[in-house]
Amino acid sequence: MKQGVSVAKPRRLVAVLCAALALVGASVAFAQTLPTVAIGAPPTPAPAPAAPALSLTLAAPAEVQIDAMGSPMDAQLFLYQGGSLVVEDSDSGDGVDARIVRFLAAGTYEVRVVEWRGRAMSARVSTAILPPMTPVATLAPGAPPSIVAVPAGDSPRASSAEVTLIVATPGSYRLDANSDGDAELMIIQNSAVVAQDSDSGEGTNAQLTQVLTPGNYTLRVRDYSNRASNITVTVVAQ
Amino acid sequence: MTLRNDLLRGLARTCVLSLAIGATACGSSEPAPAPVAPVAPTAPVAPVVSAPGTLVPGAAASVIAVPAVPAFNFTLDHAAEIQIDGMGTPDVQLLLLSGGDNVITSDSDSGAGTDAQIVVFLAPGTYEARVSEWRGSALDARIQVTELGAMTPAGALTAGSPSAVTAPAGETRRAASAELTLEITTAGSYRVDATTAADSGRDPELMIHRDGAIVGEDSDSGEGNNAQLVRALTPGTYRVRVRDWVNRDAAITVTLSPG
Repeated sequence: MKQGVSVAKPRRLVAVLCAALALVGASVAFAQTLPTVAIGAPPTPAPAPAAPALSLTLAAPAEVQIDAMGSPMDAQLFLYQGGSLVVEDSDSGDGVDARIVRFLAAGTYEVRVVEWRGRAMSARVSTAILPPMTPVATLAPGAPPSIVAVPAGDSPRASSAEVTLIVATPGSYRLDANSDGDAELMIIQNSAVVAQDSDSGEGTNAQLTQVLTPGNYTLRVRDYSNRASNITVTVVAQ
Repeated sequence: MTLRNDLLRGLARTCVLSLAIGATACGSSEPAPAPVAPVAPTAPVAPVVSAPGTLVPGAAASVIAVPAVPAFNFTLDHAAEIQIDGMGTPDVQLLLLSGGDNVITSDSDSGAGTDAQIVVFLAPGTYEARVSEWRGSALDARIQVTELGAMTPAGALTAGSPSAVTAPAGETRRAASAELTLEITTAGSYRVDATTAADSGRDPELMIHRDGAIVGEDSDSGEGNNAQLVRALTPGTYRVRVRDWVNRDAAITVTLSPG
């Protein structure tokens, strides 16, 4: 027992020391003096290096999730390829964390992270290849429409449902996704987006006319605002 | 001081990492766990780790240190209308803060090209302007803070005598504004209306300011899209600033009446 007490005390001391030093560090950081700009003075240089970046290489096309977590700071994500911005995100993750979910082609990408208010931050960045969703139905051109129930979700993927489309004959096909809400439609093959649409159908319905070669495709549907919805999916040859 | 900060941060980080891996070296006072029976050795499963500077799908999160963006202080000893310019390439962003992390306003592209420009009435005090690049690219920027002079008034506003003001089209709110002087000799409640012809398609905005401070501003409290302010005013010289909501040229009638 005595031995346990004697061990616990130094641990408490270390804990207190850690907390105290952390507070001192925070105070020092808060009291940091910034350079001053005089009102009416000529422009003052304010150079800044590029935001820190991580390299991401994909050997094959995939649906990828990239997370930047910096709470309590507010991480922002920028995904670049070859110097061109692919997509960016501010708050799609938990809280104010950033999250990108995107179908990406094989290749090398650059993931940049900044803090929303420009504050210093230690962010954790992770990436994962998302597994394929389980299709809820199988559809062939000319078959009766499939009524697909999509769930409400916090993200486009979470509120999506997928249908397998089997194309036996090459040709031009019209694909419709209709609902009382605002249906979205995406054609996927081999983890790559073939085409997607929001409002080309009647009202806010989605419609795609696409030349398709024989093979299996995935049709992903959801409501534009990620609400639960029944979406009627139809595929006909043109 | 920098070294001291680094040491402190390093120690704090050590604490966090220690907690993350379940160690007790940084403060846990729980008793040591009971011994467990030895288990047959199994092949170790090495966690997937990303090489420095890279991300590997499925690997543990990489920790990345994001530095603070360039920041500058400026101090006002009197209330004033201030213009802050963030100029440079590729695309400068400005954030204006006071009292730590209290964001007053921000701007992306109100300056020339994609430069950032903030025009704001500020009370006396110390402010912080942060400069960043829109998409996190390297930034070649300059920052400038200017106190704006008073606008030349287009006339004087007096009770019972509507003033017709032509606000010019402009690229900024101030550039699209016109001002009237307003001399108050008797304290009281006053109503100021800024109206446009119903068929003009314009949407007048209204601001009253005095001595570098905003007394009141309004967009649509009048009939339709017209602006209206009712304020208790003490004797003194005020300015009434009007413009179109989207900075188009506008013929605006300004009236003063008892509130």
